[in-house]
Amino acid sequence: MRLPPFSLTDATDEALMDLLARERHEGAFDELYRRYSQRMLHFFYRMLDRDEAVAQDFLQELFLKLVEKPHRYDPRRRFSTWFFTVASNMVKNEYRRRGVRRGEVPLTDALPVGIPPQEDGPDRATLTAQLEQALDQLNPAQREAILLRYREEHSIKEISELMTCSEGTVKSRLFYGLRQLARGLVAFQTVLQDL
Amino acid sequence: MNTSHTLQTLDLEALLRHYDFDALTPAQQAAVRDHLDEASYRAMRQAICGLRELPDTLQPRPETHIRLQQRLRQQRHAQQRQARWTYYLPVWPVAAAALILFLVARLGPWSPQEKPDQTPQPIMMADSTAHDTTLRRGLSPGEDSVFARFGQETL
Repeated sequence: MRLPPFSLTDATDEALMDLLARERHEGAFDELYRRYSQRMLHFFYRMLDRDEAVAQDFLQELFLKLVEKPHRYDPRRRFSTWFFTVASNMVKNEYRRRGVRRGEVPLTDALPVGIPPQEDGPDRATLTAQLEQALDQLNPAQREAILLRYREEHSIKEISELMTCSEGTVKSRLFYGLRQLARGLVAFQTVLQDL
Repeated sequence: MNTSHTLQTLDLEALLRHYDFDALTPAQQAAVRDHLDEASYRAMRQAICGLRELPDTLQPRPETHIRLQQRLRQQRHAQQRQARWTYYLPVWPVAAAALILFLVARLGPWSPQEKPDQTPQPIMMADSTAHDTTLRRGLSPGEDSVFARFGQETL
């Protein structure tokens, strides 16, 4: 097999994808897997009720699409945006399959329960736990927007493209989602104690 | 009363009711709202930082990677097979056309065929029947003359 004229670890995602699509290059696939498998696993994990087994299955299915239908990638798009779009569509299909209609969660439900307040402010582990729990309480669209923006650091424009909605809608989802997250945090309650 | 624990199960509106928010003066209400806004923004900032630092503790299953690599290899082999077929494919029509042309030229109605000779050919049985004199009785006149000549030569 012809070897690529550059180092795979230095190659852009798009170049790797091109190599994978043209030659089914195993090295290119391995590099993409290394870069994205964990990120995508956590995306699925957080979007699908923190069910690890389901997230693992979705991860495999996602990369299988990459292996079997690499020609579906549009080289004009940024790879990560395209890849997250595929993942996002899989999540939406799963919601549809489950028949779950998730509306805005009432605020009373959004506040976490059962985690004891911290004497001297929330430590890192508690913050993480509360944040994960608060994320669960967001509606899927808000959660997705927030994860893509603050976790995956996509631009607003990319998220709007990825979620097929306007940039204004993305900003709105981010704002309301973030506000709801903030209300779910221990720090917020700690501040309230001062009232 | 453990205020903080109670607060955990209350929403903002319930909280304000809990503290009898309506009983406060407008100035006090505004101060509380400002305080809440500020707290809310602080918590938002904290949420953003927290999101960025969320630990990714899960690891993909190792067998997933292996399975995908196997699938990729299968795909590559299929692609190579297909490429071979694609390479040889243009040869097929040319070869088929050439074969048809050859057959048509060889067997077609305009091909230069020799007409079969209808006249009976002399049967050259002299060597095999020379010793059997009984067969000589059924010979044609021409053949008979051959035997006659043979007889003369031997005489």
